Amino acid sequence: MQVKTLAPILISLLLMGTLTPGAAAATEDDDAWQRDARRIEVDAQSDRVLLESVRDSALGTDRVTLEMHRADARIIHRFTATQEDGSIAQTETTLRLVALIEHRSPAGGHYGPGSEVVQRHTLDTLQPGTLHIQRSGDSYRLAIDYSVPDRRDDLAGVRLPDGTLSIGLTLAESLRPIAGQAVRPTEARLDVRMDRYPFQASDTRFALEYALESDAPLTAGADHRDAILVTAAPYQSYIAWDDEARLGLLRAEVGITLLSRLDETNGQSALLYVSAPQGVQIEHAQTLGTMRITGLGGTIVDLFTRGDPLVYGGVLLVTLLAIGIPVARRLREEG
Amino acid sequence: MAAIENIVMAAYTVIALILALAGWRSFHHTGSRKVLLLAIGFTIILLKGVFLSVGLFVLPAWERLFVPSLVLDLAVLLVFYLGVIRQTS
Repeated sequence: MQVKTLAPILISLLLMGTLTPGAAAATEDDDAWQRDARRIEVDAQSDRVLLESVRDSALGTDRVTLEMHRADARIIHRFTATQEDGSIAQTETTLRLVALIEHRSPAGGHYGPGSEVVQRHTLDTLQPGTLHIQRSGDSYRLAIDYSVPDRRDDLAGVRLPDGTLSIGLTLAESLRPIAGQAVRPTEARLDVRMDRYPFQASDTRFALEYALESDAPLTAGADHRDAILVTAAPYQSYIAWDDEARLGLLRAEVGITLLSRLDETNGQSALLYVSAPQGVQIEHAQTLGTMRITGLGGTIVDLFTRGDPLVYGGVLLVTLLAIGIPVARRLREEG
Repeated sequence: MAAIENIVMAAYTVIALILALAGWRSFHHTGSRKVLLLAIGFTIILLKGVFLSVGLFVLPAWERLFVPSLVLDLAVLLVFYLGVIRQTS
């Protein structure tokens, strides 16, 4: 191959080398940041318990606060971080179990606006028990039970025992397995268990209704498809739900319905419905946590297509020069 | 991953363009039916390149173009078969 033919190709290859490395920036969870050990302090009062998890290490200075209220099982998750320039990044999310619902729904079993409500127990009508704090090693668990009255009589006219709704919230100082799932120190595990819900029919399903509120717009996770996110760059707090419920020894896929009250509340409020089949014992869990996004700061933009004009146009030009010029010369020589 | 798709598609389309232009120029000079079929084949390849390139910037689910692009590949194979393998008078 002659030099005058080789030169455009070599120059083009060199140009291509400068185009690709910085062409695609990526976001990624900071896993080490999430796994870094923390220290938990407890502040207990009669109507609420507060767990404060702090970390002040080379990886950052931040605080996770979990507040659980006895009266309505409201959970407030706050994350506060002091950044290198001294500014504060903060997210606050409130998750509240509003009601227990027995429903009939169209095929698929997801509870939604078209579902028939057979009965609904709102939490403010249930009698709460004592809010307990349990410590196991370096993990803390807040737990509260509610009695769900069973107003049915069995065939003998005997009143059936009430059902029990148990809500537990676990936070740990280091990475540990909780109910078979690895939970990072930046995460809290919320488990809700319903024992002996008084179903009135046999062809119905059970649903948990949650109200979510935050101090910033709620968004659905792209990478975390089963989650809701609240962003305070470079941090994102999330509420991620398990896609299965435990029915005793069995597992069943849950139906998730998310209704965002976008117009009323600027996207800062939503209703979450978790629907599961009937069972004597129904248990479902969620994870509340925060992650640090490295790479891109500010608003996380979802790229809807794969097209990158800079890379595509650059390669187009480079290839045209590298191959087009020698071919044009050859064709011209051939006359 | 997205970067490599852009690189490959751009190179694919440009090379197809060059080959198609060369093929039509050659047909213009020779008037050969075989060369005509070759030029048509390269043009279909160029169309596929343009089709996939547009999809890269327009469609979020780029993989949906897989079957239509296979159809174009089939057309190319048929044209090359007529031009290269089959006896022409």
